[in-house]
Amino acid sequence: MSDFVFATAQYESGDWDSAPLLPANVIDSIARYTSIDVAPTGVIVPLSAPALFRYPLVYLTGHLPVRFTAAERDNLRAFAERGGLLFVDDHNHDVDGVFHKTATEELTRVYGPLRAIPNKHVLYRCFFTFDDGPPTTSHELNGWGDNLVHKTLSGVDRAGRLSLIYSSKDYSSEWNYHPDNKRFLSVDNTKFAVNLVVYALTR
Amino acid sequence: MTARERLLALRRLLVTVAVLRAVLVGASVALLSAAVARALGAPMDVLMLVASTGLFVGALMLSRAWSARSLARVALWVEERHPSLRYALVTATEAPASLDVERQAVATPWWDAERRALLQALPVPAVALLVALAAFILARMLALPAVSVSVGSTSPSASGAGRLVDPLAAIRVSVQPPAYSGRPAITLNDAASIDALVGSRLTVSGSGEAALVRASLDSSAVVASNAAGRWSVNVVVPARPALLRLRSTMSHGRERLVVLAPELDAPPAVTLLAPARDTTVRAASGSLVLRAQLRDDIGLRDANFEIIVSSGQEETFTFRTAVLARASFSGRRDGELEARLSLDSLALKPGDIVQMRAVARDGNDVTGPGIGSSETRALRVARAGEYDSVAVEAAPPGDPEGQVLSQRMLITLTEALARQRRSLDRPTLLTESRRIAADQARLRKRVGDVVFQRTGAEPLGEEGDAGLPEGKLTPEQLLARAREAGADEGSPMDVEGDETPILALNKPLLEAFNAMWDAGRALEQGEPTQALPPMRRALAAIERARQAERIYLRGRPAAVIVDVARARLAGKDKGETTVMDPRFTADPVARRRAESFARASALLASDRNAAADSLLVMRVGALDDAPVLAAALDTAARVTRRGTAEEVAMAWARVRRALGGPPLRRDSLPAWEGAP
Repeated sequence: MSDFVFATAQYESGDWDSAPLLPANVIDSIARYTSIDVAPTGVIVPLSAPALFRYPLVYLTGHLPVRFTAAERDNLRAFAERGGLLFVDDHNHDVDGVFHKTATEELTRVYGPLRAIPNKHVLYRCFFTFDDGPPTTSHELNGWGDNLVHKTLSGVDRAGRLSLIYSSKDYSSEWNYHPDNKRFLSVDNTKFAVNLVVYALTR
Repeated sequence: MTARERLLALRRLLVTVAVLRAVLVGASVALLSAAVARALGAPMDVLMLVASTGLFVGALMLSRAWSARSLARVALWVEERHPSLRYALVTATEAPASLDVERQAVATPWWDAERRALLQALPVPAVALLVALAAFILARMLALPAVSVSVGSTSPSASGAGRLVDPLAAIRVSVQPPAYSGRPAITLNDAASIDALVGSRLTVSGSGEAALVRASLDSSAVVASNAAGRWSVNVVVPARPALLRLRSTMSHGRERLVVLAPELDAPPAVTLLAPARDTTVRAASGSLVLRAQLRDDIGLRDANFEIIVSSGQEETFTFRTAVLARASFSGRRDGELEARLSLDSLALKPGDIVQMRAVARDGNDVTGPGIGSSETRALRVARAGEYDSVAVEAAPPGDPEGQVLSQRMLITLTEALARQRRSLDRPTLLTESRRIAADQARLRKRVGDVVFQRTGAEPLGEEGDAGLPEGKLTPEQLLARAREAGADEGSPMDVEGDETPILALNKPLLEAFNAMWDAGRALEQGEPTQALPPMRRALAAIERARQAERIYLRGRPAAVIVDVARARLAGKDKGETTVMDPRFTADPVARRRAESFARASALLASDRNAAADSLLVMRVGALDDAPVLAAALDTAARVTRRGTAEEVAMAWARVRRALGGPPLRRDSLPAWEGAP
């Protein structure tokens, strides 16, 4: 029996499955670096399904406009109230893009206004230490998308605990490769994903 | 007059003087203390406490006179002051005294001297009392002008304690809603709770001067002003519930609470009527009708359709946005928006997605505007060659469900025939048995259809067609027929061992197909008893087919399964997941409310107004997230002030029920868990 199952959110409006290899890569990192009992495959959970409440961390990404249905909105609100953490990543890595605009609008309706997460937040120290906040991605450094290096992540704090983390850094592209190819990297760029999981499970 | 009689008279005087001195000194101390406390502006309860020191001093002095109850001690007191008596007076008090002693005791005229000395002890305390009284009156006069001076600054005629009236005895609240709402102003008398739109201007006023009233909204002070001989306080209804506290600065001044319950302006409700559902089209041409219904609780300002066109795939997307049919509604509460979207003008290419929604804004210029949006509809232009995976339509339940029922029915009929076999003649038995055999053959054909549909071949022909396979099929024959049917493009399906994909998929159905053949042959020969075992095998095989894993093709590569054990270089993961229960949601708010309610209940017996105020304070916290509780608290607060005991009990019971929340609904009776 595994304690942690990586869940990808499936929503009605967009390409929710745009990073199909990311779950395996994150699971591989959890297995490499932690003793968390992790399931070998991730699951896909509809955002409007009660099954959402089984997963403490849910990952959501896409390129296309995000328009939640009423059922998705209500379910996500209940998920947040029950202590779930939603990690949203803009696969367009573009703050002027339509994913960012529509997703932040929808998330604000559900969670309230998003605020920058300070780079001294425990999220960056709960397993690996990231002194400068969220690690940069190759897309940011190569000047793609909005041609910005985002210094912080955004999020919503609920009673001292993050219930939403929003990233414009495009970790979906950064981590979307087969875990076997990790051996070609001098530095594993998925370590921050371990922090996300550990934060969701322990805080 | 004997010495004893003189001594008794002196004792009476001594006691009288001691009591008078105690009273005078005690009163002086009390008045002086009260004067000091009053000069410092201490409240009445502190003033009473300070004044009680006089009582203590007086009691202490009285205790010293207690010794005078003994005549001998009075005699000794005189002897001490007149040593020439040489204890004759003490001896004379012990009757009967000799004549010598009596003579010696009255030889010295001590009684006049002592009476004068005692009387001389009174003037000083009397003067002290007069001084203390003067100080007290002075302090009182100094203290009063703290109110009357400020009062006199605006209205000299109002000075003087006797003319001050309670400024909070009756209050009036004028509510001026925001202009955009178009609602009229209203006035409420003695309201403990004001329900008004956020941004409404409230004027709370009462009789008297502004200096007599201190006001605060939650923790912020609010300045009271004078207007037309009345005090008034102006506040704006905030976005969150708040408590307006009004306190009288008069001694014994009361406090009044007014709950400000903001009425939130809801954003417009928007329903997209057309298009009714998402659509995938082969080619986008012509026009699309967009229609939306709009409704707002106060008034709509404008509305429009929002269009987003997404083009591209994988990592490369481009977007176009457009606004259609912006319309003004000038404060109407409902309306309809309609537009026609030309798909030709969008020049859509395969893979493009058009997302449409209606957006409406209300006229709220205080906290808004409130923006409401409809559900989003998508129109997608399919890419060439993707129809097989895109056009997924809902279908009735698969064939295996029907076959199970039919096979069960055939088994039941065969069992009945087997039981009647001995009572039937051979021709009748053969006729009945062949009828069942014909049904079994039809069923076998349907199973065959399923097998061949799965392998990609055309299903078998109509009943009795030549396409019906003759006899049992071996796996090799099935494979051969499948190849003939053209299923030779290869399948990505995972299979176990060295089985071909076709066999792995159809094994249970093939087993059922063959068992039905055996059963049909026995039935054709009029042997229902021998037909039953293969019929039951067929049923079991169909059951297995029903429970087999369904495979839904999504056109995506198979998910990567991480070998966790390999990643950790040890162990073997079973790959089972845990179904987690929802986390327990702690509810400290409910606990705090229950505690507040308990405290208010404790106040109810001693001070109804205080209990009602406690309920009003609770209501401020409940307005945001517990409207039912807030309404019950409002009623209970009003009833507590003016209602009968029975009405109060009922109102408080409703609050208690509302505190408990709605009753839990269970879908069924809980499982029996044994006696507690």
